[in-house]
Amino acid sequence: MNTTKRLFIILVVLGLWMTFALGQHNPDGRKVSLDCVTCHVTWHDNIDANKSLLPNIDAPIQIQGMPARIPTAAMCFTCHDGTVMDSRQIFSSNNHQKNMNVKHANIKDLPLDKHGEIYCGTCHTPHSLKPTRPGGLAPFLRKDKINSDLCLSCHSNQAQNHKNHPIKVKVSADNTMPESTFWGKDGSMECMTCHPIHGKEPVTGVTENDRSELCSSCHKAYFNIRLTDHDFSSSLKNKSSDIGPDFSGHDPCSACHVSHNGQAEHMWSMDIDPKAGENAYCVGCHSDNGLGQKKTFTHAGHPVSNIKLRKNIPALGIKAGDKLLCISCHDPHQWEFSNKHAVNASNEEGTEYTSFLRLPDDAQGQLCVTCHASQSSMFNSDHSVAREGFQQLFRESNTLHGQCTVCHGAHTDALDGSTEDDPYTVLCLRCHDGQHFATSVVHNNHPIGVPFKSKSNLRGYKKDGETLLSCNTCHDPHKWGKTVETSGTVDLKGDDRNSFLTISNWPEPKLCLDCHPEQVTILNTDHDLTEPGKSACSLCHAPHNAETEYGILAKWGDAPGASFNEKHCFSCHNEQGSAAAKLVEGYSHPREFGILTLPARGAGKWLDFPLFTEAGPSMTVGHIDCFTCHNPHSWSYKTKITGTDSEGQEGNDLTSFLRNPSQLTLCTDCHGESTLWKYNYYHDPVKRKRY
Amino acid sequence: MRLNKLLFVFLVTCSCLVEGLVAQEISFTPVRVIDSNFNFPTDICGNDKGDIFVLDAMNDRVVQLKASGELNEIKPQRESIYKAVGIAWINDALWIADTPRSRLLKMETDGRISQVVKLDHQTEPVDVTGMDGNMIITDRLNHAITVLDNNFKEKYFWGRRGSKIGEFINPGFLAPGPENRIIIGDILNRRVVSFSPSGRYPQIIAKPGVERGQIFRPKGVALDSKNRVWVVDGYTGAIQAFSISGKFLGIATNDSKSLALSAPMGIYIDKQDRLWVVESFASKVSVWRIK
Repeated sequence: MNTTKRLFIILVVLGLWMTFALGQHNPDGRKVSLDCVTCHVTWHDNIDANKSLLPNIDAPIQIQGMPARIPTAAMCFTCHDGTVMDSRQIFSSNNHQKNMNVKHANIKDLPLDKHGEIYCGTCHTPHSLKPTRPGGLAPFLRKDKINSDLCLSCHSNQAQNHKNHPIKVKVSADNTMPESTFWGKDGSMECMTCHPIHGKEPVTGVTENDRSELCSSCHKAYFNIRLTDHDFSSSLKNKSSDIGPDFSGHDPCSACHVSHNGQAEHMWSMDIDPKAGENAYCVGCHSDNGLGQKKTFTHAGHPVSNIKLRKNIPALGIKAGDKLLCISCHDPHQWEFSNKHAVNASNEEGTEYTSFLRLPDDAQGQLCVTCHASQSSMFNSDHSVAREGFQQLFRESNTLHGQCTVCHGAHTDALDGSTEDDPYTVLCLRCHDGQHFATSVVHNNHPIGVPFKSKSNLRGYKKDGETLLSCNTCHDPHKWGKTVETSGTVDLKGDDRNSFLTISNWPEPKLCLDCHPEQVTILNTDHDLTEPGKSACSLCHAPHNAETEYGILAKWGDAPGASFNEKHCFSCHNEQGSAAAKLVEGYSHPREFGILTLPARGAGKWLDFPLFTEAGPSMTVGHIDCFTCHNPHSWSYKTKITGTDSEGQEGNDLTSFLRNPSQLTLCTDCHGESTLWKYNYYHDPVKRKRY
Repeated sequence: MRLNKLLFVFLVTCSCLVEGLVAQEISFTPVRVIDSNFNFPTDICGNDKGDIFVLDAMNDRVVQLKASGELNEIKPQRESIYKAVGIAWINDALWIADTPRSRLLKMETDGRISQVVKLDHQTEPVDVTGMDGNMIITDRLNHAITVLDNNFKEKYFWGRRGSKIGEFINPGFLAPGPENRIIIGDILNRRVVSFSPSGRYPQIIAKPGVERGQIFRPKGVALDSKNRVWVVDGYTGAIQAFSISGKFLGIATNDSKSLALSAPMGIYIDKQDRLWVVESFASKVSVWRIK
C-alpha cells in the first residue's frame, strides 16, 4: 500500500469519525439532527466550557422535580419575538398567568421551570403534530384542548360538581360570543370558551369586575335582573355600610354566582345553611339578618318544604317528582312576567304582577292554578276579583290583588292580613259585612267558633287543639257548586245546590246532616218538604240572616202566633199554608207563671222538655211552647223512624212529632191526674177544657 | 502533488480553528439605558442628525430619542404598525417593515404615513435596509430576500427554505456591509451570511454554535467604523464582532465578562461607535461604548 492510499484511508476514517463522533447527540447518546439543537441547545457536542456562551442554568426545566431536557421560555422567545413567529402579545399578556407555584397541583407529566412555575413549555411542545394532521393538537399543545384535558390537568377542581360553571355542555346557537370563541366538540362549552388563555383579556368579555358581556352572551334572559332589587350592583349601591357589600361596578350576577369554586351548587357565592335545604339560596338573604331582611317570610305561608309535585307543570318548568321550592313560583332574575325588562331597584313594593313571579296572580290566578287547577272554578263566580265589587274595594284601599292573593298571603299567614283565631270569618266578613258589596251575613247566623263533630271531617279552625266551626266548615269559596256548571254563576241566587257549599245540601241535606246526623229522622216525614234547590232543613232554617238566633229559624212573614215557635209552626199550619190539613186550633198555655226547666230541677236535659221565654229558650224558667212537646225532626219519639210515609197518616200519642209520652212531661206538676186528658186533647179547644 | 494539496487544506483548517483562540475580548462600557415603557421592542435605527428611533410596535409606536436627549413618541396616523418587526432610516426617511400586513411604510417623524409599499409573494417583511437606491427586505414567510428598485418594483428575489448556501430558514435582521455586501442573519440556520446585492456570491460570516465565535440565534447586525460586523445572539445574549470575510474578531465584554443581554434584537451603531441594542425581553434599550 503506497503512501497515497494510506493517507486516503486515514482521511476516510477521520471523515467517518467526524461524521459520527462529532455533531449533536442527545443525553441518551443518540445522534440527533441539527433541527433538534435548534431548541435543545445543550445537545451540542463537546462544548468547550471556556468558550461556551450558554447561560449557566442548572436544571432549568423539571418534571416532577427531576431535570427535563426541555428548553426554557427564553428559548421560545428567540423565535416568537416576531422574527420567526410573533407571540409577543402572549408574552406581554398575563394570560395565562405564569408566575404561579403549581407544585401541589395534580401535574404528572407537564414540565415546569426550575421554580416550579408554569411557562410556555408546560402546555406547548413543538413536537406535537400540527392540527391538520390526524391526531394533531392545535396549537402545539401537550394535551388536547377540545375536551379541556390540558386545562384540567391543573385545574381539576375548577370543573367539579356544580360549584363551578359546567363545561362540556351544549350552548345555545343564539349565543353572542365572539366569532373567535373556542368551542369543544359539537359546539360544547369548554374551559377555553371563556378563557382564551392568550387573548387580550383573561376572560372573554370581562372588564375588571363586570362579567356582564360574558355572562349575557349565553344567559341573556337572566339579565332581566338588571336594575331590579336582585341586581345588587344597583340596589345595594353605596349601601355597604348598613346592609351589605357594595356591588357597584360588578355585574348583576356576581352577588349570587361565582364562575368557580362556589360555596354550593349553582355556583353560589355565599355560604348557605344546609338545614334550609334547597331553599337555602333564597333564605340566605331573606332572613332576619340577611341582605333581603325586609322581605322575610314565615312558615305560615305557602309550604315549600318536602312537598313533591305529582305532575308536570310546564308553565313553571316543573317536572313530576320535583320538590316545591321558592323558585317554583319565583324567577329571581325577572321582576315582572309580562314586562321582562321591568326594573325595580328602588325597593318598590311588589304586586301580584311583579315580585319576581314566574306567572302573575291575575284575575285568572295564572300562577296558582298551575298547581291548584281545581280552584279555577271560582273565576266566573261572584268570588271573581274581576267583579266590580272587588275592583271598587281595591280602588278604595288603593291596593291591587290577584284572584288568589286577595285572600291568601303566600308568605304571611294562611290567609292574608288575619291574626285572629278564626281567620276565615275575619276574611269573609271583609266583604260580607253588610258594608260592602257582598251579601251581609252579620245577623243570626249558624253559630261559629263552636266545636263540632263532622262525619266528613269538615274543616274549621284550630284552637287549643280543637277544631271549631267557621265559615270554611260549610263553604268552599273556590267552588260555587258541584252539581251545576261552574260558568255563568255570577249573580245567581244561591240555594242548597251551590252557594259555595263544601258539600251539596240537596236533595238530601248532606251538609247539615254531616254535623247533625240525628236530624236525619225528618226525611220522608210530613215535615220533609224538600223542593228544587231547597232541602228539608232549609224550609225552616236559614244559616244566615235568620229570624231568630235560636235555631236560626227562617223568616215566617206574617204568620200568626204569640212566640217565635208558634209563628214558625203556623207559617205552614194555617189555612193557606202547606199544612192546612193540620190546623192547630187550641194551643195556648197560660203564661202568667213560669215553669222550672228540667236542668234547673236537676232532673234531666233541657231538650227533654224545653221551655221558652219571649227571648227564646230558657234554661231556668220558661213557658210551654210548640217545641216543648213537639220535635219537628222526628215523627216518633219511641222509634227513630225515617222514611215513614206519614202523609195523610193520622198521628197518635206515639208519633205526631211528639218528644215524649205524657208521663215524661212536667205536666203532672200542675195538672195531676188530669194530665193525660189534657195532654191528649191539648189541641182540642173543647175537650181540653173539660178538666 | 495531490498529497501536498490535502496537507494544505488541513493546515488551513487548523489555522482557522486556532484563529478563534486568539480572538480578543472587546471591552464595552455602559453608556445609558432607555426605558420608555417599551413592550417587547424589536428594532432600532438612527439618522445622520444623531436621532435614534426604536420600533415599539406592540405599543403601536416609534420612540424617537432626539440628539438633544429628548424622548418623543411617534404614533402612526390613520395606520397601525402593530406587530411590525423592522425599522430603518433610508434616504432621509423612516421605513418600517410592517410584518403582519405585508408592506413597507414610510413614516414621517410626525407620524404621517407618506408611502405604503405593498409587497408581493405574501411577503412577511422582518427587516429592511437601503443600498445603492434599492431596498432590501428579509421575508420570514418565503425564507427569501427581496430587492426593490427605487420605484419599489421587485428587482431581485432569492432564497428558499433550506440549509444549503443561498437558502435560508427565517432570515431576520440585515445591514449593508462593506464591499457592497448585504449582511443577513439567517436565524434558524444559526449563521450570518453576506451576499452581493443581487444575491450572488454568498459567504458565511458567523457559523452555528454556542461557543465564542459562533452564533446560535443571530438577530441584529451592524457595521462599525472599522468595518467590523457586529452580531447579537438572541439566546446567549452575546455581542460578537466578525470581519466581512468571516473572521471572528472578538466578543463584547464588560468587566472582563462576556455581555449576556436579555434577548437582544435590533442593533444600531452611531457615528461615535456606540452600540445601541434593543433588549426585547427586558423591554429596554441599552447603549454601549465600544472601546
